Amino acid sequence: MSARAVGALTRAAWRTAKSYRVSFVLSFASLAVTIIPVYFVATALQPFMASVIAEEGREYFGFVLIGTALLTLVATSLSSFAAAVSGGLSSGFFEALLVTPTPLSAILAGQTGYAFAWAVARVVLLLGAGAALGVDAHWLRLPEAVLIVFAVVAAYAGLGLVAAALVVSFRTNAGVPQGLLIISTILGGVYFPTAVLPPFLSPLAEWLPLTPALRALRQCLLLGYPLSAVAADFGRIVIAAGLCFLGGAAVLRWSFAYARRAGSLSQY
Amino acid sequence: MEAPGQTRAESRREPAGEPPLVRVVELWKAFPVARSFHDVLRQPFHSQPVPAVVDVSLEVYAGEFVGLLGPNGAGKTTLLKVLATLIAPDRGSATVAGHDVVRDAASVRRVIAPVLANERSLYWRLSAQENLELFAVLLRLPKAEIESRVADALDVVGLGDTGRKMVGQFSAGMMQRLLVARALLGHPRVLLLDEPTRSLDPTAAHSFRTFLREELATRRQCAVLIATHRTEEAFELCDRVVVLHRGRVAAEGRAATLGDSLLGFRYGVWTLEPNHPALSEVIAEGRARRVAVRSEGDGRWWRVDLEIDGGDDAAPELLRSLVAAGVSIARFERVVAPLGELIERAIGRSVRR
Repeated sequence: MSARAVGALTRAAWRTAKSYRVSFVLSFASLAVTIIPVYFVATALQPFMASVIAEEGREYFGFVLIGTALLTLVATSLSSFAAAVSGGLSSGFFEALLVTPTPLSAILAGQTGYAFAWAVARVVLLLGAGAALGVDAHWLRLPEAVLIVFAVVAAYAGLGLVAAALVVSFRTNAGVPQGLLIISTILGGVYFPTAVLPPFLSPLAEWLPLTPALRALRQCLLLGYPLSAVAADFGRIVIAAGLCFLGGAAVLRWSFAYARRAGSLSQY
Repeated sequence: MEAPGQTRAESRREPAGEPPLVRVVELWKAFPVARSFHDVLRQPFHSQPVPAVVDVSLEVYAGEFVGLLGPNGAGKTTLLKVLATLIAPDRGSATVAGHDVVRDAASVRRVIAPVLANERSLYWRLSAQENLELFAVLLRLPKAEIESRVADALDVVGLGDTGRKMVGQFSAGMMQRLLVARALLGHPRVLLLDEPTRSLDPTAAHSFRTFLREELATRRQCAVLIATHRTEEAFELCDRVVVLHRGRVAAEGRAATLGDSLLGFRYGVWTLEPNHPALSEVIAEGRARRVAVRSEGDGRWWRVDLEIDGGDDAAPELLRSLVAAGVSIARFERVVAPLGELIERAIGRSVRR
């Protein structure tokens, strides 16, 4: 993959985004406004939630903060590839990129680079705001947290690539990113632990990469566990990441070959 | 396929010993037809593909301009997209600078520069210079050369003074020039142009054609394949034209020669008396055929288009006889046949064959 090409495409998207100055500033401001009500609601619910979340953290605010932060990255992983391909195909920009010697992998990484960078910036802001509001976290466990995040992002990015493949082949993502995001939000333990789910839903929740990822992430950051203590969950996420990402990349490659045969690669 | 009375060698520049930069051999491409939901349910596995390119063969050499003509849906854009590696052919082969468009697509992309996309394929919120800098990286130009290559490309298309202006503030013509500048960045050997002057006013289109001819074909020795609907492009710019109809090559040759062979030798006579007996007489004698008569200028003058048998050899004698008979003639000149008519005749002839 050409790092120069990825950087150049990401920079172009960044320059475009910051040229809309009001929208750019407001998007940061809205993030700060969102976190404050969450803090007060979480503090109010603390007495009721403390025992329920005990396995993953002591404070409900920290629990929700980690869930929201990871969901931000998961949402980007699921939707950004399909959005980039869809926008690029409808404008003709993708066609202009595909006839350059830059490989497809670098084009896709560059086209989504800004979305991921922006998601990471939001996560950093969220965690910074959480720290400022006094969240009780073990920040020394950040390296372990980064590994877990990286693996779960890779897993969902693989599913995002499948959604992009659907756009390339059929001009629709068939609601895959939205559907997976809703299911992951409800069953993955973003706002409440999966222990409170009805028994028939619990096995389903465990199949989602987000569930073990959130559990491991919270145990590292909120309870200070080392990576070895969450090895079982981490291993599951790494396997899911490998399978989903390689599978997604293969499906996407096949979809481009199909679109070249069907002549639909450059139809707007 | 040659035009009648013309050999293949006459109809193209064929540098001795140099292989063509573009070689298309018996190329076929068919597309599935979009079917209604009802049809899919009734016959889920019955697919009737529609041919877009049928058994097309052509070659384009360095420094040569070849025009692709034909009505909408003739297969021009499909052919260009096959060469741009965006569409995979069903049968036959296409090579660019010796690289196969299917098996060696990455190498093809290093030597081609398609101008197929529209203005929306630019970053409108970035400057022209920033747009080109981005593509310079994507085209893998050395970092040290990017600044000078971008400046050169902008200068070449006449946008040197507006490089820092946001593309969204450009006119359609300027955007079209920027697309060409983008294509020229990588010093391509083959250019694929799909109606490059469609957004330009007549003056801009004329200077753009001059630029294409001088810069691309003469100076850079690019092979250029251009799909066009414009008469001027076919006749002034192209060394050769290929008329496509329903995906097949209906005719091929120099546009002017094709025009002569398909439409006859056509001359315009500017006169005050379109119905002068002397004019009627030459037509009655079969020395010329009246093709069209239309009012010109202030309404007093008329242009009578004649097809004269024998062409330039017979025209002086016919003119002399008209003047001698007292027909007042202000102008008498060879006229270019309308492109639409040329295409129609070429298609008609190929269908009859």
